[in-house]
Amino acid sequence: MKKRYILTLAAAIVLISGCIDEISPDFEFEEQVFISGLLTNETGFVSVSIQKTVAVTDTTFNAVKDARVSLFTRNTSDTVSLVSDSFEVTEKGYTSSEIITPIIGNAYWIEVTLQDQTMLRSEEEILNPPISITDMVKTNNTVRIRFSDPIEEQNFYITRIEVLKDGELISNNVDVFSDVIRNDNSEIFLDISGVSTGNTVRTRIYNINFNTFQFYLNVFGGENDLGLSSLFLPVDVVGNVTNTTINELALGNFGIAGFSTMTTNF
Amino acid sequence: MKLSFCFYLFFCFQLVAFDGFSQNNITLNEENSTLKSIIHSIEEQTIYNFILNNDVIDVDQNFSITVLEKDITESLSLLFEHSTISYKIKKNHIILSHVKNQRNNFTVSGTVTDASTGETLLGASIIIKNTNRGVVTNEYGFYSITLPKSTYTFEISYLGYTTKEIEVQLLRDMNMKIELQLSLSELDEIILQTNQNNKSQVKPILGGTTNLTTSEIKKLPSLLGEPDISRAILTQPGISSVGEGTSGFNVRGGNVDQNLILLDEAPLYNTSHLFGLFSIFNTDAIKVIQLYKGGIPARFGGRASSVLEIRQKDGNSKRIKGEGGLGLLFSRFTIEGPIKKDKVSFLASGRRSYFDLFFPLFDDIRFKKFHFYDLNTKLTWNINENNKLYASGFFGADVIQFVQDDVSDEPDVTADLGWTNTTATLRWNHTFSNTLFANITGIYSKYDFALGVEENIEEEDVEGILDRAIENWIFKPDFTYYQNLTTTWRFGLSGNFYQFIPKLRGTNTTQLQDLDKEKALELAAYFSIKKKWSTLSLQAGVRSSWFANFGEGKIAIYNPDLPQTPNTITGLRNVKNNEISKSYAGLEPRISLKYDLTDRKAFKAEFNRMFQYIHLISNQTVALPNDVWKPAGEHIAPLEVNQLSAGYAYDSKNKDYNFSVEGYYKTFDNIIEYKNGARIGVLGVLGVNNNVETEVVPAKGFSYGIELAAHKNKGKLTGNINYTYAVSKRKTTSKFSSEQINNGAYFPSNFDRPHLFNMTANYSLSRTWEMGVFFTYQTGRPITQPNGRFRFDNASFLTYSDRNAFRIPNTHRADISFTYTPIGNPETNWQGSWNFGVYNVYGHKNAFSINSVFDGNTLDTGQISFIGAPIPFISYNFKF
Repeated sequence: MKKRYILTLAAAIVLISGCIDEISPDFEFEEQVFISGLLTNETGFVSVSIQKTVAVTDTTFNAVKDARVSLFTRNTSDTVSLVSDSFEVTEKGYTSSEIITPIIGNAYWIEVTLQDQTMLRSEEEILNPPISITDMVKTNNTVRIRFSDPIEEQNFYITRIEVLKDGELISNNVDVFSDVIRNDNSEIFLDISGVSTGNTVRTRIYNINFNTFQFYLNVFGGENDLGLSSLFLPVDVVGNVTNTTINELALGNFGIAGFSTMTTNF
Repeated sequence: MKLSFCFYLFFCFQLVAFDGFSQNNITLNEENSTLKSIIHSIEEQTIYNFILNNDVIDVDQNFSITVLEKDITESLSLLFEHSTISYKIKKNHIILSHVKNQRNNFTVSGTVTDASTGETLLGASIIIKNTNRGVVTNEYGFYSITLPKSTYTFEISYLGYTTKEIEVQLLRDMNMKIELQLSLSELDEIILQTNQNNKSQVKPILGGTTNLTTSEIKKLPSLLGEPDISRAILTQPGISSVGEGTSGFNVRGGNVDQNLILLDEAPLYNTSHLFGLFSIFNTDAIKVIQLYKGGIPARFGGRASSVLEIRQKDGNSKRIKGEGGLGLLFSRFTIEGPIKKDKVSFLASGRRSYFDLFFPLFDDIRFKKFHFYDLNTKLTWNINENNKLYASGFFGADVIQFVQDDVSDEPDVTADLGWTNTTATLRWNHTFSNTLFANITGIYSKYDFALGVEENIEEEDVEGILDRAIENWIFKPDFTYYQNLTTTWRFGLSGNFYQFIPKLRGTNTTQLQDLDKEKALELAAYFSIKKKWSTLSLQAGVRSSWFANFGEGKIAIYNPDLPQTPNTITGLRNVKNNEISKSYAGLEPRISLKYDLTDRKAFKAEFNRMFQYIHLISNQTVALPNDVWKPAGEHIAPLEVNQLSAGYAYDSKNKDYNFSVEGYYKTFDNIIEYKNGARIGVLGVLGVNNNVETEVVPAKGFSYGIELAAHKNKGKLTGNINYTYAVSKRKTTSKFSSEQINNGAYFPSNFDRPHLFNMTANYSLSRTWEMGVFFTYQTGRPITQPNGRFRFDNASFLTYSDRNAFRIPNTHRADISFTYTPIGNPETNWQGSWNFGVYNVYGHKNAFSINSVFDGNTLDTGQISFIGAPIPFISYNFKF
């Protein structure tokens, strides 16, 4: 919150002393592969999206449809096993052909082999337990969502809070945060304003690992303001995926998360 | 003792025995004969008897002498010419004694001051005429010259002052205060012929040094008519910045935090008002500015790339004097004078901006406060010729208030933002003897940043306040021993206690108050020698520094097999209050050599090692007031910079033109770079993250370059041009490939700007009109550019090139100013002048950055330029 004000003030100085001229982008294009996916503790099909980047002026989605995807796990006894290497190309990308039941405490990762034999591998991440949402209470037009935060344990969260009216989405708030400076408090709350009577609030909380947390910060932390973006280095959307063929970080992330949700009509 | 007494008696008897014999000329032909035998020979030939104490005089020492019928006095003089024996003839006695108390050398010392104001003159030159030997005054105007007993003519000169010649009969140690007269009006045609702008690099031993006076700075065209020291520094070779109007400057490839900026010896941590638009230094209060970027004396430490030493005026000790300026957006006023003439003087200088007075004229400006002010003060007490006391202080503040109370669907917000610099310096100059000068300094310095935000959410006030300060307590005894005219020793100690204090409090943030205050101590001892032979000069020294980080605190322990992230903390190490958590030590050699080819040509070479024990965890592209200073500790090592430089200086005949060329190569170890996406961690909790090391990655780097400069000092047209070619690169050194930037390859630093050209010119149009022009051209700074896009979570995102793989367009700017100085009224002492001009004359939009963001699925790309239009200015300056 306060970060915004410092930056807003700094941007105001920029505006007072400077100016922004829109220009036509003339950037060199370099094709890369972007992988994304999030495996939760919920039983179901697992999806992985694989795409190639396009030039900045190109608005198409360049899906990769000829890759091979495998999902692995390592249990608490340190035994590695293949969960599935049967993934079908669907609208969502690659979806496992069988229903998978992830086990809390196990580590999971994927390996993707592209047609040119380039191998991409996500880092092993442990499936954390879901976080329990205590309640959602509305006062005036604000809904306070409370959930329990394990004490003495470093936790990283993504929350997605949707406000719906008559089944239609009217707002979608995504927050990525950690309990690094409030770890002595067993309860965390989030306030959502602008909720009217008759609205529905759907809250989803993902208990993620650090690399996935960093990835989502990279995704959602980018500045959408031209003035403010001048103050920072651009952020590459890298997470836990490595191109093992050349041993370099690659774009994208395959995250593992404990998942919980609550929906309330107000 | 008994034996010597026997000899004594023996010679006394001799004295009695030969009384009455008369003979004054002697003949001797002795070769390595004992003194005893020579004495005997003289006594045989003359009426004289010797008296001596053989405890003092060794009669067995050998002498050689050949004289033929020579007068006894002349013969004795010849005999003892090169010995430590003196003689005295009294009646028929020749009394020998040791010359232990007889001195051939005497010392003259004192200060050089301005005759009209009493200000000490730093770096004034005192040359012993016809010898080409001399000294310069130190930072307190003190000099000491030791010479054989004789009569000399001293030639004392200082830029802008009339050169003075003084005949000195050096028969004893003496104290001599020298006063120089300021040259007449700078508009006087005669003065235009003097060498008052001399920028010769031939005389100083240290290469890469720059002296600037406030009168030079005031001649530069300035933004909104406010003379600015930081902008003047940027006109020098080897100095660059990331962009127009940004805070700080980069010296020879070093970060902005690598510059030690001292105001009356007190370190300053943020030298900008309004995010970098103006510097905090009021030129009316400043006496002289010295920038060291090549050879750096051993007495300086704590920063790795340069030292900018700024000294305030002492205050006029002769009469009350005022000075000031009225501008459209600033005003300043300085008053100085004697409390007791030539004994106690004071200086008070204040400045305030008032652009915010005009904000109500614009509906869309939500700033209710937007101004800065600063105050410089100084008290100088000239206790006696051996003691002087200085007390000086500075306080500068920026005050900004942002109010948003008219946006529906958003809470009312009031944000108060401000930062202050406070310094207090107490210095005692003491002259222990004519050759030993001491300066003992106590310093307090504090930089404080505060942000308070008050939001009204659903009729409930939510308040949050962040306050962060860095505080220094410093004690520095410094001694200078002037052994002789060619040898000076300097030694001393330095103790610097740091406190880094974060505070956070608020209505809903009680759980955030547990923030670690960090404490650190930096101790150093140093000595250096300055020695001059006939054509070779040396300034060499060493600084031994030690730094410790103290508790209490909790230090994260990381899994050594994984990168340092909040997720890889395996435990915490508790450090008790005042327990050392981590310490570092290092030796910093500093060597400068100069070889004079002639009195107008010199070669120079230097080597410096500097350690820096605190790092600025800055915003990523520019320094902002909320940046965090972090002491070296368990996880962040001190920065080490080694610099090798060499140059050549040349003055034209009569020193009308000064030329210099200097090349350098620097290495940087333990520098820090941001990890990809680090800003969220650093700023997400407003820099109160106790584990900043999780956001940065260790790196090393190098920089090299060559600087060419030419100055024209005489005539109606004066000025300088300089060109710098510079390269500055970085490379991350993490052992984890996932942390490496650009996969561990070298990449250009944020301020790598290879080509830099500056031109400054002043032209005297008439006795009352003067014109100033400044032009600069620089390679665009490196940027990281988008190189593709993809879709995720129903939105578009960019991918980026290697860090700093591209550059923004090259930048250039010209400024012009005119100064009209009507002839003042000598009866009132009032002297006014009008200064007007245009900053960025042709309104070139110098890109600071090029950025792209998505608006939905549409890409917006913009070029951001600071001060991208011509900015006219006018101000009225006066003094009385």
